[in-house]
Amino acid sequence: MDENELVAASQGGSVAAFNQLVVAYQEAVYNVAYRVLGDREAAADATQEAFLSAYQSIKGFRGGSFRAWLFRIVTNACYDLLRTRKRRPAVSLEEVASNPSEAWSAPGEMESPDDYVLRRELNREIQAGLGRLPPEQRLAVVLCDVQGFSYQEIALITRSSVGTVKSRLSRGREHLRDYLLSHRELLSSGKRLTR
Amino acid sequence: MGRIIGEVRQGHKRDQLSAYIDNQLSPAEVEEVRRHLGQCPACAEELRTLREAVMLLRELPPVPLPGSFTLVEPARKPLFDLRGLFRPRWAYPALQYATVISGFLLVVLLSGDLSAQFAAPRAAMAPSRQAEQGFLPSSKDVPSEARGLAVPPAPPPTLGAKEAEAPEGVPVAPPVTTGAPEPRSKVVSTPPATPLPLAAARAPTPIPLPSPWSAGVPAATATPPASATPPALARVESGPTVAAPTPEVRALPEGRSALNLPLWRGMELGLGVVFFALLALTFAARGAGRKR
Repeated sequence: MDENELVAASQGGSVAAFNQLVVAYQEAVYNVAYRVLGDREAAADATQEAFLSAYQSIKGFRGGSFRAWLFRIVTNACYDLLRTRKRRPAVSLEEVASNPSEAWSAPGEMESPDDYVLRRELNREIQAGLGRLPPEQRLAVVLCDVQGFSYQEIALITRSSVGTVKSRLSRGREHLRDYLLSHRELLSSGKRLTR
Repeated sequence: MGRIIGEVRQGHKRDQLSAYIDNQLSPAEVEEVRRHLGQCPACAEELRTLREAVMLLRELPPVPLPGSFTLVEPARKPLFDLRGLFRPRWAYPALQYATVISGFLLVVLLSGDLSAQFAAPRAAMAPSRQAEQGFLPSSKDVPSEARGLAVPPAPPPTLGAKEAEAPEGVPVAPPVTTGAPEPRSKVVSTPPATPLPLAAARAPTPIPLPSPWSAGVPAATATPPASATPPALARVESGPTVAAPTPEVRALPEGRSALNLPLWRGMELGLGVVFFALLALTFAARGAGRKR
């Protein structure tokens, strides 16, 4: 069954069909949630909440891009969690941004221990830099550069214009680039992002 | 703000570099940015570092999933949900009280049954043993009517001949010695003709039957009134024409009626089942309360 048929079956109440959509999108959804929230547990909560909410409201899906519709729900779930965290900061955003939880895969067979450590450091710095961006810019950067969404899709997901997406993306990238440049001693032998 | 105004005055294209990387500019804008980059080393450097940052983001490895996020199909609601029984606050105390009451009733029932089982044979054994050993009370101890009611130990071989003399002889002998079920039942079932009054008279401390059995065994519980014997004798003397008593009276020596026995056992069993079911429910309600 293709995506449209799975969506139609899910609208008819088929959990099995919806679960096929979940399997197809869960990695992307979880990764977006993790990059936006910077915390594995919170990302898992947001992902679960998003899929549950999507299943409950899929009858209201009127066609178009299912992916954009699904990621709008994910975005809302992430914003809800961010707002909750802001109201009750058990862990401050600053702390999450500067010390993101470890979520990296084991070293590859061809990867030396030094490269593995360097990759982990780089990933940690990128995640920390993302955490310092305003949520709208962070979301635009994650959707475009990490997940490969087009400007039009991001505009659909965030319910904004393509011009707004361009602007948020440009500022977000600049901020992130500046953050990484300020921590360039951690980057790979100073080969990258050097002025 | 001042930086942006300054950049615009100097003709910098920093705001368009991000879109330029993604080919999101119009051909005219692209041409304009390219021309500027050729003349402005600062913007060219800006573009290079920005591209590197974007490349780093695109090279980020995917974060492994903590598990599957597939939804679980909701289970069908059972027809009778026991958990609903435990929700009210009064459920646990109510179950406790019901369990205690049913347990108490069960104990009462069982103790009555046990005491009846021990008491009735003792009360009934004495005369029957005496009868088996051929021991009959002397005329000093027992009135003549009682003596006449004693069952002889064994039927003699010439019973058939004695049957004819039965009306004038010992009243008990003819029906018992016939061996036929009908006359025997008549005689044995005659309430006052049983040796129980005799046994009651001879027993030093007659054990009264418990209350549940006393209702079913009126003649065996206590010394019968004096007026009870003559009618019994009269009935025996009248021979087979006397109306036969109900067969349940046969069970008098055992201390309970034959018809009441299954009912009594059924009550014990039912109460036992109810008690243990209530006990299990009480523990379940206790566990549910702890979980909450």
